[in-house]
Amino acid sequence: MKKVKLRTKIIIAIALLLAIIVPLITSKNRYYMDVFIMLGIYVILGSAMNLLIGYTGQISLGMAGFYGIGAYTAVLLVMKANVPFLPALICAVILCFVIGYFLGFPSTKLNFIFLGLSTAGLNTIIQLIITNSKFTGGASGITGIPSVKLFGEPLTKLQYYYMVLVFVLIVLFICYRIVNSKTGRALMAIRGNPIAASAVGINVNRYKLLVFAIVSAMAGVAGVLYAFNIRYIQAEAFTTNMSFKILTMGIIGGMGDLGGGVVGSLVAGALPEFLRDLSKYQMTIYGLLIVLVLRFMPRGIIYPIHIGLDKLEALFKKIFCKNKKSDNTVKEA
Amino acid sequence: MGTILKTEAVTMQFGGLTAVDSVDLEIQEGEIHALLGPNGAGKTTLFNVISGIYIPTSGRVVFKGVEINSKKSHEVAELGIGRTFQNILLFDDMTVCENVMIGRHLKTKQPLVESIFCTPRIRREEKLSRSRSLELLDFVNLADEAEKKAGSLPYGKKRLLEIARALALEPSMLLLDEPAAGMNLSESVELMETINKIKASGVTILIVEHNMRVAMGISDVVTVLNHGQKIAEGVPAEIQHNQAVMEAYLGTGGTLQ
Amino acid sequence: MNIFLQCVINGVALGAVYTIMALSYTILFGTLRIANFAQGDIYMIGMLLGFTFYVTASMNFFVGLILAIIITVLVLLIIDRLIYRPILRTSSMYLFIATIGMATFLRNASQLVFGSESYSFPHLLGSKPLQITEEISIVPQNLIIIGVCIVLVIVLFLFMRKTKTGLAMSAVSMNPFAAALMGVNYSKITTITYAISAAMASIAGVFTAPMYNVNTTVGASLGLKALIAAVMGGFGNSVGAIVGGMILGLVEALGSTYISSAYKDAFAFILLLIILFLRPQGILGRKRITKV
Repeated sequence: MKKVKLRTKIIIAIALLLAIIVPLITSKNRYYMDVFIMLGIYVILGSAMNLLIGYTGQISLGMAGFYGIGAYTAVLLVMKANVPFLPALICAVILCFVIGYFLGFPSTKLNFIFLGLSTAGLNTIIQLIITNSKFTGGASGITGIPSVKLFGEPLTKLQYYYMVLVFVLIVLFICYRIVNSKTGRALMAIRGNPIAASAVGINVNRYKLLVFAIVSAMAGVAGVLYAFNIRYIQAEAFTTNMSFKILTMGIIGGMGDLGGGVVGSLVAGALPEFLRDLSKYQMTIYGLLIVLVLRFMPRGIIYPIHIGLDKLEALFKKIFCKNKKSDNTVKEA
Repeated sequence: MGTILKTEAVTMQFGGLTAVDSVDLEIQEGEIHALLGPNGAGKTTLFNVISGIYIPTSGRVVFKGVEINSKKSHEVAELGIGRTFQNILLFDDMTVCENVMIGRHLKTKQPLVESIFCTPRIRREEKLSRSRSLELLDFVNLADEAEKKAGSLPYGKKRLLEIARALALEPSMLLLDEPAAGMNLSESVELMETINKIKASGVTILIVEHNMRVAMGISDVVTVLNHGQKIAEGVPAEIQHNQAVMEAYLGTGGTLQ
Repeated sequence: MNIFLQCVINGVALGAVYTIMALSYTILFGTLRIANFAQGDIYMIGMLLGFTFYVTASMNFFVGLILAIIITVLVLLIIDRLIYRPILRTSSMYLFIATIGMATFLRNASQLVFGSESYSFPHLLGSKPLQITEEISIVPQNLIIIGVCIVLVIVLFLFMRKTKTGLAMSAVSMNPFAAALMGVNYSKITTITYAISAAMASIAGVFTAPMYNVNTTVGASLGLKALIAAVMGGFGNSVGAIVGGMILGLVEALGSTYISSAYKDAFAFILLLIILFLRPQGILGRKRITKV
């Protein structure tokens, strides 16, 4: 089995602990809770994007479209058909998966430019349908989305946050398992060289479609969680601008690095909160971030962090296990 | 022993250019069959037709009784034809061992849903895949390099790694496109031993080779192409004295060693 | 019938805009294999600069046009030198993503320079439609646009076929390594290609300004659709760009009248999906042979 470094385990444990404890402290403050919930949703979106772009070399400018399909499907099921939340979520995810599978077909033709274009187109079309259809409430959107209930009681913000956290962990775990299995190797092979990949029997088109569908389904989950948190949706939230934002999250952390996806999502997601006075320039900053990261640190902002940790680890070893043979790797259970 | 692969009047045209012109080829199970010919003779194109990268303009390719003309590359691989590439197509940023594990794609039973739940079978398969890959690396004398990045290997070792990756498919037939290109003398001698070992394990080999010493030294049958056409076929000793072949290679009056 | 003819006329005018922009993408892609997603925003910068010089600073139209072209070209050349070229050394996919980032950046950053309100640019020959028959008319500005398009196409084709630089560009497009070996200065050709591409986009920007609300978001959807036109026609193929541009213009004009105006922006994408499905290399594109 692939070895997981002790260091990685420690970092995951610390991150998880922070994710569980910090919101407990701020649970009184609705604003902070909303920020944390959004960050969770961004991590889902950014990690999905990172999986797509970093591991398969495909690009999607239509993530916000699937984010929207997920949101509207679940909301309409709950409000118009009285379906409970969880089944509605599952339906939305399946729908996103199926649509993703079929609309991923440009990915099997030619290259990323065409995929970029057709996914941007898909986003535009979904946007137009949402805005122009009566069923989706048109441009004014849908208000009065009921809150999610557990045992008949509506979830508090804190409980909702923990629910989102569970979904984040599920998505990250799935990403991790995909990457570290035959499927992940096949995807990386396709990114490396599609001709060589098919020469060893990898069905390139099938895998491209599959991963596109999986990523679309993940965006769908994020959409559902978004809708039932703010309980009001309109077309504005699912524009191509949102897709650019998701692209930024998936890229800046470091492509082809799950941790990079998480870090990128958190940085890009939290940035507007730190720069509230500059909210007008949000998109300018996202654009600039993409360009600067690709130009000056193509391995992403996680790369200097990795290097820093390497040094830290060396230091620790020097201090604590002077004579012992280093035992920093542990076999994964 | 019967025929394993047969091409019947295979022609491949690109626009006005006929790269392969009505070539008939019959390869017997268990033999090493070499394709010779000067640059641009259509050897690699014929390889690409057989391995499903190109669909021939006309003609038939039959592998073990199945017509594979219009099969895609991965389907051909599934039927049991492994190949290497003239210009080495490895997954450079992955380790040597991972490269071979990718070669075991079809042999590794890890359905996606099960992978996500990390069932015992997945772990078993993963272990098996790794250990089989290491065996193959040992077979081509690359065991020491298993954890290095494939891109960092020297040229000759890259060629060996490509062979190991193709063998991971557990093919019944192996297409080797100029495996000795860029190798020094001792490396190519070692390569010839490896190829003979592969033959001994029961794999049929079709090899394109420029290096006359390698080609003549290991092959049972030699086919010579020139300008896309087959100009000669026979055992190495015959080919060495074939007039048409000498002319194609050296112009009139030359001799081949 | 009259409605149909009117649609065709409007479609051709729209097609002319797409054609110029599609060509500005195609020349970059055809020569350097670079798809600059930010091209629509280069168009927008050209348009706003034209507005600034001609309307705000009340300069002579042609002086304003030339200044707009020069500055736009400089902007793209600087972007190329500082950003695109170094990234291209890493990977062409990274470059494509960077051009998307650049598009987002330019679109939003130019608001800081030009503000976020919409301006209107005066029609050069008056806004009164010329009546062709009683029910069919054409706005003079559209005639100008069609004329500019024709002139640009002719100049571009002459340049590519007759001048040494143009031929060198074709050589680079066929095989950059061989071209470099033959003594073509790749870096210089890159610069010239970017310059031509930016010049075309800014010319399109200034001449079409009267037909649109002049603001910083005008390039986004137009740029995307022109890229679609180029891809449909066969990306990298100049005649394909013209065919793609015209088809897209006509489909949009006819579709928004006969099918639905609300979904006008969707036609381009639906058309693209259909063509990618039926003919992935584009209408006039040649199938590329996989070399192994």
